[in-house]
Amino acid sequence: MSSFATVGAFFIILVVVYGTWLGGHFLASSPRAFDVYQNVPPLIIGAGIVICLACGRFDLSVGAMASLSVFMTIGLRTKEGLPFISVLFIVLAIGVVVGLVNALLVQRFRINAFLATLATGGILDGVYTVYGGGTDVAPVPGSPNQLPSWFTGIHSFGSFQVKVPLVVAWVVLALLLASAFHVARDRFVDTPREKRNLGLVLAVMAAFAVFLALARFPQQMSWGIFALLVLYWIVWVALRFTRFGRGLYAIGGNEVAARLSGIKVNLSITVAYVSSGLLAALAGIILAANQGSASPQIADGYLLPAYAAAFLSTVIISTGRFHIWGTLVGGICVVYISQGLVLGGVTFTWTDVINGAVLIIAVGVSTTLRRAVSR
Amino acid sequence: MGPNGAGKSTLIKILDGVYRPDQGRILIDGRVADQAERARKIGVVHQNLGLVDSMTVWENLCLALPPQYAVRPLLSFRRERELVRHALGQVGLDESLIRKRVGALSLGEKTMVAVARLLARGAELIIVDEVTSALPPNEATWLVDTLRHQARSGSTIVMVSHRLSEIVGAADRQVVIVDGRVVADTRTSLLDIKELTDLMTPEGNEGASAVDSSRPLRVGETVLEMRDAYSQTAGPFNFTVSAGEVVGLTGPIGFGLYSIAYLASGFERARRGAVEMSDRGVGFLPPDRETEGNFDEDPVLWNMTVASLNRFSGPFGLLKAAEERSKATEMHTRLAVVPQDLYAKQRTLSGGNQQKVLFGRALLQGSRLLVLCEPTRGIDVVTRQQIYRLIRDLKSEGHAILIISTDAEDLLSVADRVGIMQGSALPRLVTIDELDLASII
Repeated sequence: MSSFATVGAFFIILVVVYGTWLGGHFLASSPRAFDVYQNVPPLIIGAGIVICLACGRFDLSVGAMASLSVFMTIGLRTKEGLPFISVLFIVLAIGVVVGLVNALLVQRFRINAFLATLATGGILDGVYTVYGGGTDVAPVPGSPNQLPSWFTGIHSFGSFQVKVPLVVAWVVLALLLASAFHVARDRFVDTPREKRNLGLVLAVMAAFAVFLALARFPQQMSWGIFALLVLYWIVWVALRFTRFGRGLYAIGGNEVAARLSGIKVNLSITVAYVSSGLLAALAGIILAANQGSASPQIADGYLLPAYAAAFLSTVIISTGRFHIWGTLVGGICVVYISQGLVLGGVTFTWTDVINGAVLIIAVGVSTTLRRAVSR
Repeated sequence: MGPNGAGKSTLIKILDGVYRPDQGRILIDGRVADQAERARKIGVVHQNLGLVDSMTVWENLCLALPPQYAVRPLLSFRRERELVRHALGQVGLDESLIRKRVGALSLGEKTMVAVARLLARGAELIIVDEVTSALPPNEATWLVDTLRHQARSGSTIVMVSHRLSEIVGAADRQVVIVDGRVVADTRTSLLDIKELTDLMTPEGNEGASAVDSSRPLRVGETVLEMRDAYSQTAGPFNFTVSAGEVVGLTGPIGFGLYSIAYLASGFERARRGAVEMSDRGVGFLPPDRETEGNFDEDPVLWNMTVASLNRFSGPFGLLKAAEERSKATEMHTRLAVVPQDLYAKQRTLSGGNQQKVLFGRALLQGSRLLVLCEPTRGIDVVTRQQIYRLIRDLKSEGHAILIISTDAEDLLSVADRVGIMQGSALPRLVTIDELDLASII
């Protein structure tokens, strides 16, 4: 309950403050949905990062992995002329292999995870630079090897203009709300007082659903956002409701105790790195669909916002654990805060400065608050 | 002293400045002491000692001292060395340790270094919080003797301990805390072990005096057998554990005593020889609760079920939440863990209750073989009796139980057969009646 309350409160405060200040400029649902759409790749990378951080491991190769994935998605089709479906499988397989290599370096050869994944990231950057000859890779007009029109372009899954059918959008949102309710009920079953809380949870969720409907959010759900929500839901289930996820958190909490509890530490961490590589590859594919071409370092800069979102999750949700929904809300809030300031008159060139400052302030303030409360 | 959860650690944390007192004042020498003065005059040795293992004794001591400058900002090694020597001398530690890494010292030596550090800092009141509970008997005796010596030369020592014999033997004054209240404070006539036990035992709980009637046993089939087995550090081990019996092993740590436990539970592979188990699973209680057992930030529920998640998982490894919780609740109730909230974080529990949760973890695995290391480390007299009763119950339910403990009382209370390590080898086990008591202590 407390976690949902804090996530909700965080979000509502943001919307109310900016809504009051900027009014319709900020509250218009289409540009806000567009903000989310633009940040789907870093947020998906963030989900992979959370899986690794849950077991206490860093993966710094994900930004470069996503860039490589963009190059491969575009290049293997337009330069090599491979069938597009097989291209997608190859790119995902690259993500899996990179994850396996990271796990091998970290668990087998005991190289510090920070250093090892930073180095593999560097190598991946090098690989696509060599492949692309140091410049962009884009479809050549007139060549028979074009990207499929369902993949990228104005009328494709990659476009913001193409929306998910309304029914599907509501099904996804209903799934998320039902999940939230399931968790709340799971936690509160024993006493009558807590049953009343449960009623409150239901009321808040109903209000949220009405808010979404009024804001016409379901109408703004493009396929990228759809993929984002579904992936987050899957990662959430894996982390929270499976043996694997419980094991990861145990490893992150106390690795020795986890081993002595019979958890397969090496296997779990390997799966974590593979998931993170796979999600980074997926993020790259989605970015390729959005952009339609690949340029060097296209996704490298996502490393900071993705880590920012993941670390924000530990302070947004009071458990102090890396948490998937906290990552989503944290990531979106950072985007909205800087977008709001831009709308309010700050030049957009300041965005990176704002993002860095917002991260430090948010983490700093909530850590201090929590310490003050626990005293 | 007082039972687990009586508020001893909380009291120390208030003195220490970790918690702020809700009300009331703290006086030192008759005057109200503020936080800074308390920090200067009160020194606490916590169970985890707070030393940096990778640094030398010298460096560890100097960390706590104001910098000793030759010419600012250059440090004077000569002055540092003198201070460190003096501090080590005060606690009777050998000067040759000065350049050794703290990680290479024995636990007793480490504890003395922690005490020396406080003395060097000028602490007048030294609180040692259950530090002896993890020490082997000879080192514990040495520590208590040194602290007594300190007290004679003018320091005030407050010692928190569950080993009643230590308190009775060494203290000038005994204070018993139960449920956050001081129930006894003896300035004049000291209490003996029996009286102390009674004070801490809740009414209607005759734990300590309950006579063990289950000793004559019907031993079942052999569940664990070691034949000429060697761990990485010790061996050979030759013994069997059968269903319906409790085998106790003890000896000095530092010669691989616990490695028997890791072998028996399959976490370490035998370097040579054979370790045979008739069943697959082993319920395991690790020797060090803090570093090998607790998931501090996770709820009690997770701590309890972490080793038996395979029992609660369905397709795709999805956990059956309701089943997991009902099994955990059952175990929680059986072991009478306080608080009753399954979602309390593990670190908020007292040591004894944490230990019960770890017991629950071992039992929930549902294995016949239980390997229990230091089952009563840092546990008060009442919980200790509860745990002994639990072990006897488990025995009569047909479990095969291997206890590995440096606390002689554990073995004397519940073991049917006992082995004492000599060096790194384990001689033949003897039944408890054949045991020469002197050899164990």
